[in-house]
Formats: sequence, structure tokens, C-alpha cells
Amino acid sequence: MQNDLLNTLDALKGQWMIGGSALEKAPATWRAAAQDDPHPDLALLAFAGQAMQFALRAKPSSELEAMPPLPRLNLPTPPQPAREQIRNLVRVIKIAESQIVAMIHLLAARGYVVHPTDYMPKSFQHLPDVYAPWSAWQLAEEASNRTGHVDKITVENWGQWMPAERRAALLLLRRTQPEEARQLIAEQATLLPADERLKVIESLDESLSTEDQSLLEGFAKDRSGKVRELVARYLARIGAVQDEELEIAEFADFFSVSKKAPPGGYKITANRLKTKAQRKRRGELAAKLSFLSLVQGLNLTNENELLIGWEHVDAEASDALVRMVATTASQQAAATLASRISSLEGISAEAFQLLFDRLGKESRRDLLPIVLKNDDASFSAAVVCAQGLWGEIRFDQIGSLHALQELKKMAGETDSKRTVRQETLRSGLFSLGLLADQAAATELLKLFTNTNLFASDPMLGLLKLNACLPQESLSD
Amino acid sequence: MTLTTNKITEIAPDQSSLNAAHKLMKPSKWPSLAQRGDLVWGECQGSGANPYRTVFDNANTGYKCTCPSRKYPCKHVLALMWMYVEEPAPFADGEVPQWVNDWLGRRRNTGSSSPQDKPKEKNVAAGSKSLVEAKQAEPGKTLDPEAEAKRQAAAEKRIKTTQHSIASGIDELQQWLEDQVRTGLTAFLNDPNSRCRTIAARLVDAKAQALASRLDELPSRLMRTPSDARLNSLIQELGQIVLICRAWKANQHDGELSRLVGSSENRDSILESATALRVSATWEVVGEQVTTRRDGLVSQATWLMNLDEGIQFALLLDFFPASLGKRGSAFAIGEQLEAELAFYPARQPLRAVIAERKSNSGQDNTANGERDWPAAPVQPLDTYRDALRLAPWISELPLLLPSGRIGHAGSACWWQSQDRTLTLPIAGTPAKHIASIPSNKTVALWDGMRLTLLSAQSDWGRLSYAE
Repeated sequence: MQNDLLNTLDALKGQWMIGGSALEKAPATWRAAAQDDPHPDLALLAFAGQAMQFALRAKPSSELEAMPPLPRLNLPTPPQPAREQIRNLVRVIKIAESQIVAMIHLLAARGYVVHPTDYMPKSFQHLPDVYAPWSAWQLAEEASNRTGHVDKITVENWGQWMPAERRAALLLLRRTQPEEARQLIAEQATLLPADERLKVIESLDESLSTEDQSLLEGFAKDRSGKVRELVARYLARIGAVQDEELEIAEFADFFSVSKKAPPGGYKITANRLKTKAQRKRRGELAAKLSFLSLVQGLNLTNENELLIGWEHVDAEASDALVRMVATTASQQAAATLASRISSLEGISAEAFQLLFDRLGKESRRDLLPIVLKNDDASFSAAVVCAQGLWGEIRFDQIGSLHALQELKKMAGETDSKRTVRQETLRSGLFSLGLLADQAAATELLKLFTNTNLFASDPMLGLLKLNACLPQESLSD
Repeated sequence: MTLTTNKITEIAPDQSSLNAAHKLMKPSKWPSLAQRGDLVWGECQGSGANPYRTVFDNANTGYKCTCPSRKYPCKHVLALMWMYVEEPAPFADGEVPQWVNDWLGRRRNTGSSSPQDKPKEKNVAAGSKSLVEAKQAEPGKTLDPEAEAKRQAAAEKRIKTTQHSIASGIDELQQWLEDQVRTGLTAFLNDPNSRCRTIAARLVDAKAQALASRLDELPSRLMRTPSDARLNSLIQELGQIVLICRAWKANQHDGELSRLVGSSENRDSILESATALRVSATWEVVGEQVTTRRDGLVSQATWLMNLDEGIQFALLLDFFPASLGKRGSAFAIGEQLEAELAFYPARQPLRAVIAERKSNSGQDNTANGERDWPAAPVQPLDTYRDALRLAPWISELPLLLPSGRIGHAGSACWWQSQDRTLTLPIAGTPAKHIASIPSNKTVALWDGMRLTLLSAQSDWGRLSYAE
């Protein structure tokens, strides 16, 4: 019957498309009903329209492919009040993408993941590992595959993982069983395209040790420049790199070493350079050579002598040194330098970030009070130092800080123009939203609303989210 | 409290208004802020010498601002609402100023809870625009029977003239329809704009405004339809127009048909009608569609679903000139309100107006936990079939669909019930992360060919396909 109707409609449509009466093409019953009508074709048009509206239903042209269901993540979504604040931040206040990433890290630190209808990340590259199933879902959705499960990665199931999930699983393995992860990387990395190979080798950053030397040396002549660069940095970190002696000597000539009290100590000063060409060459060598080579080039006996004796007279040289240490020095050297640099003064935020990325959570926790003390009202150094500790700072740790008093002063100013101070205020309040624990966030909200800000001020957005985000007990 | 920041976001006409409102949330911008009962008002210092006076009614989100902005609500209203919702403490309890009382007096009373000292007598006299209340306001005035008879005769004559005019317009329309069939629908599809414009103009002259608008909108409806489905869509639409014309000619006094052909009843006449269907219930806002029409009007359709009994939908339809600027929605999707609705008379009542809204309603569903929707029928298309039996000219109907998910075949998206017995094509493509969430229940508009998804309940909570 359905076919008869389809044939009838096809015949009518065929006639109407080219024009002219379709009465002769209609089935007998339709014709009988329409032929006495003053406008028989209009009656047929009404019949056909009704038939299409009710009796016919379109069918998919091919087998229907269900979209892979969005996997549940291992953490819950935040409570409703917090979700409302998230939506405000993302959709109304429209914080920058980098700030959304920071907010997502804060959520993860409190034991939550963002609700997909509030915000769906476009990229998962800088998000916590808990989002790996969504990243895999996104790739699977693009590739029309089904995935979304995180399990232990092995040689046997290596090929079944989507890249993002695989990286997360490999990182987990590296944390728990570094030798097994090393073996897996040795066997599989060469089979991957360059971009993916780079990311897989990056997982060696976790628990990097001299035992990784032979594996790294295997990639030292990789066809990808980025891989070679990364491997060189890792080899330098474990002291397994031999720089050119001429270059080491040339680089060392950019610095002066003199003795200073107490006896046995040294003062290392960057020489004053006269030309741009000299500065450029010094920068090139700093980017190329390892920190250990510089120590040797200056005839010092150990890394500490250089780090402790370094005189901060040339911001560019100091910045280059921080980068050298961050990328090529040992863990110990990185920790020593971080303990001596507690603010961003004279150091670029990028170099500061690189250096603190090398430190473990506990080292950063130890350094945080001094960083907080020396930080400016933007609290940007503290945010870098407290990565992994976001949402944990108590009010008594920040309540008496000079930076907070400065921020309060800025909030009290009535000039609402977008001055530098307004930008600092905006950035400082966002940083505090990342740093503070729930109780501190509540206190800070009171503090600033009592100063001169309305509770509805968008600058307080992250603090408000923080204040209504209780710590979720993490389940395994 | 009715308002939430979510709802303010929804009623904002656009993002830039919200951004501008945020910049106003500084104490220095607001020399005065006050409240009394559900009324909240303030003065915002703008660039002029005098501050803008801004007020809103928290019971029903009515608002007014003296600024010249053509966005509704303007940034001052949004800022005032937002500041109040976030922290009402700075709003001192104050005497209602005269300018707020004046505004209250001019408002149509939709159940706002006014302050205790609101001058009620004045409100009755100035606030009512209804015929009933207008008559009540002048009880002493007696009507001259002769003049009344003359007036009635004139009115009847006007109606007859209008019906005669519409009838000749419909004759012309039927002739036009036959011409389209005779000259070929392929030619029509190649040039729908000029063909429809001419007949729409004739129908306006013949006082058949509703049919004129429908034909005026037909080209853009066809353009929104996938090219392979355009012919079917055209036949369906022309077929429905034929049905409406025939039905109206058979019964020119039918309210529903007159609405489909000519003009709609006055809102007050629905509210005052003793026969209009009235339903008091908790309603959830399940969808909103805003379209700018070719005639320069913006149509704002808000779909409500009855949460108390059975499966019942209502459509609140508002029109305003696009030239008046942007206007935010009065409702947030997911919002639940207790209200009595009065339905326009129809075989399948759908369009309604709010007769009374409880002042404590308007809770944001998302903030208070989701109240479950009614059970979805196993065969949802039966509802559509039944509706077509009653009113074969119905073009689309909201349906409550059972649990299902979205899939695709090629580039086309389909909704499929969990038991796979029902598979329906979807108009448009929902966002992937929303489409990939299986729904427990879905509200969608079905036009016989495609589903327009409005919202759904899922294990992730309520989903809005408008996002």
C-alpha cells in the first residue's frame, strides 16, 4: 500500500513539476473525489499534501550510524550553583580560552569536571588527564570509531588506543612503572608520525633518569627536528651531552667570574655587551648549550657555585640562564634556582613557567610562601608556582600580603577606565580565584565587596565560582 | 525570587548588552538603588546630565528604563537585575517613587506583586486596557439603545464587508494556486519570491493578512528545506493553504479559521472570553524560536509543556517590529512557572496567553533539580495523526518523544527511538556533543516531514538543542 501511494505521489509530482493537470494520473478513488470540484487539481494538491504529511515517512538512505555516546568521566560535574557560575564565566563574562583552561584545572583540583552543556572543550591538549576519554571521543567521533575506555596500555593493545587516550595511559604507566613505559616507547615510538612521536617521547619527562639515556640516544638523530631538540634537552638534563668545546669557551667568555666572600664563593656576572650581534650570539649559544657545559666553561666545580654566585645585573642574561636551567639542568639545579628566584622581576613569565614546571608539587608548595610574599598584585608568579596546588591556599597565607593590600587599594579606586591598574586588578582577582581554598575565596569576596566592588562585578567571577565549589572527595 | 543570573542571560537581547551591563556594575554608576516588595529600582548615571531611571518587577520580570536604547531590556535594566540577584544588600528598602508608580499604572496587570503602598485605585484606572475593566470604570454611564443598535449594525456591516473582501481574495488565491500547478512547480521553485510577493500583496488588500504572511514566508521556508525535499514541502504547504481556503469558505465564522485567514483575535478578547479554554498548571518552558519575518515583524514563539497532567503544550506567540531593535526573551528555557493560560479557540488548542501568573513561580528548573516530564507515549505520531483528523491544516505540532538518540546517515541527522521502531529526520544539525547524549525524553516540533528538536531530558540533565 505504501508503494502504491509512493507511485501515485510520484506520478502526480511528475506532472505538477512540468505543469498541467494531474487528474488523469490520480488513482480512481482520488479522481472520483476530485473530479466534481471546481478546482480538481487543488483538491489533489490537498490530498497529496495530507498523504505526505501523515502517511509517508522518510527513511535513512543508509544504515543509521549512532553517534558515539559522550563518555562519563571519572569525576562528577559540579553542583548547580557552581555550574551557574561556570556558565557566567564562559558565556557571559567570556573569559579567555587560557583562563577557561585554568578554571578547568581548578575544577579538577576540587574533584569535578565541567558539564558538557556548560562548556565543551575544543582542544584537550592542556587539560587534566581526566578528560582523556572526551578527547578520545572527539577523535573517535571524527573517525566514526567507538572508544572512551582507559585501561592499562600494553604492546598488544597499543594500536587500539586513540592518541590522546594512549598518551594519558602511557603517562600513567610511566608514573607507576617507568621501566615498562620506557620499553613500550622504545618499541612503538619509531612507528608513529613525528608529531605523535614527539608527544610520546615527552612522557619520559616524568621520572627522567640516566636509565633513559640509551633510549634517548636512539632518537638523537631522529628525522624530526623537534624530536632531536627535545631529546637533546633531556640528554642534557641527565648530563649525557657533550657540547663543542670551542662553543663552550666562546659562551663562557660572555661572563666574568670573580671570588667573593665567604671564601670559596664566586661572583658570576654577565659582561656588558656593546652590540646587538653580541647579544644575539650569546642568546644562540644559551639556547644551544647545556647548563653543565656553562659550568665547565667557567671552570666551576659544580652547578651550585654558578647558581648561588649569579649576579642579576643583565635581565636578558638572567632570563637565558633560567631557560638553560629549566631545559637542560638537573632536577637539583632547577630546584636551587627556583628557590633563588621568587618573583618575576627581570625574568620573563615564560622562563619562570618553564623553570617551575620542572619542580614537583612538594617543592612548589615549599616555595609558595616566599613567592607569594614577593609577588605583585597580579599574583601571576604565585599562580605559576602553585600549579597543582590551585584552590588550596588558606586565607591566613594571603590575608596579610602586601600584594593583597595593593589589590584592595585598586578595587577601591573609582576610576573605571581600562587603565593598567584596572587590568592588574582584573588579573589579580582571577589569580586569587585560582589560588584560594573555598573558605579563603569566601573571605576574599567579602573583602572586595566591602571595599568598592558589587558582588555582581565580573572581575569577581572566578572567586564566586571558587566559593561555591566544595572539595569533592575523590574516589578511585 | 523569580530572577536568576541564568534567566537574565536568557532575557538579554544579545551578548554586547550583557557586556555593557557588566561595565555598569560599579557603585559609582548608581547614585541610588532601592526596593520595595518585588519592585526594584535605581538611577544610573549615564553620559547625560540626568541619570536614567530604571525599574523592574521581580515578580514577573517586567521592566522599564528611561534611556533611549532600542534594545529590550537595555544594559541598565540588565545591570540592575544582575546586581540585585547577586547581592540585594545594597538595595535599601524605600518608598516607591512617583515615576515607578506611574510605570506601574501603565502596565497591564499580569499578576505582579506590587508593593503594599502601591496606589491601587490609580492602577485600576490607568493600568487596565481591557474592555471589561474600561466599562467597569465608568459604572454611571448609561448606553443609548439607539446608538448601540447603530453601532452594532455598523460592526456587522464591517464584518460582512471584510468577509466579502476575504472571499474574493481567496477566489483569487485559488486561481493563483491553479496557475502555479498549470505552469509547473519547477518554475515556481526557480522563482518563488516574485510569485509569492504578488499574491501576498493582493491578499493584504483583501484583508486576508494571515494567508498573505504565510505566502510571504513560503520562499524562505523553502530555502531552509534541503533541496531534495523542497518539492514535497511545497506541495504540503500549498495543500494546506487549499484546505484552509476551503474550510473557511465553508464556515466563515469559525474563530480558528478566521485566525488562519485574516487576523487574530485581540488578546484581551481571549482573556475576557467565557468560552476560552483555561488551564491552570505548572508549565515548563521547553523551547523558543525567534524568527524575523519578511514583513518586518519578529515572531517570538515560546513553547510550554504542562507538567501537572497528561501531555499538553501551549504556544505563547509574540510579535514586535524588527525596527524597534533587539528584544530578549521573557522566559528562560527550563524555567517552570505556575500560571493559568487562556487558549485561543481551536480544534487542537495550542496558542495561548498567560491569564494569571503566580508571583512565586518562575523558578529556574536547573537550579532546583529537575522535575520529571510526563511519560512519553510509545507511539508519539498518533498524537499528530489525531490532531490532523481534527484540523487537517495543522502544519506542525509539539510532540513528547520517548527515549532515543541521534544518529546520522550520510550528512543527514535522524532521531531514533531506543527500541528503533521510530526513526525521524531532523531539521538542521545539533551540536555534536549535545547530539551524542542519549535522551530520556525529547520535546520536538513535527511537521510531517522533519523534527525540530527543542529540548530533552537526559542522564546529563536537561539539554537545549538551541545551544
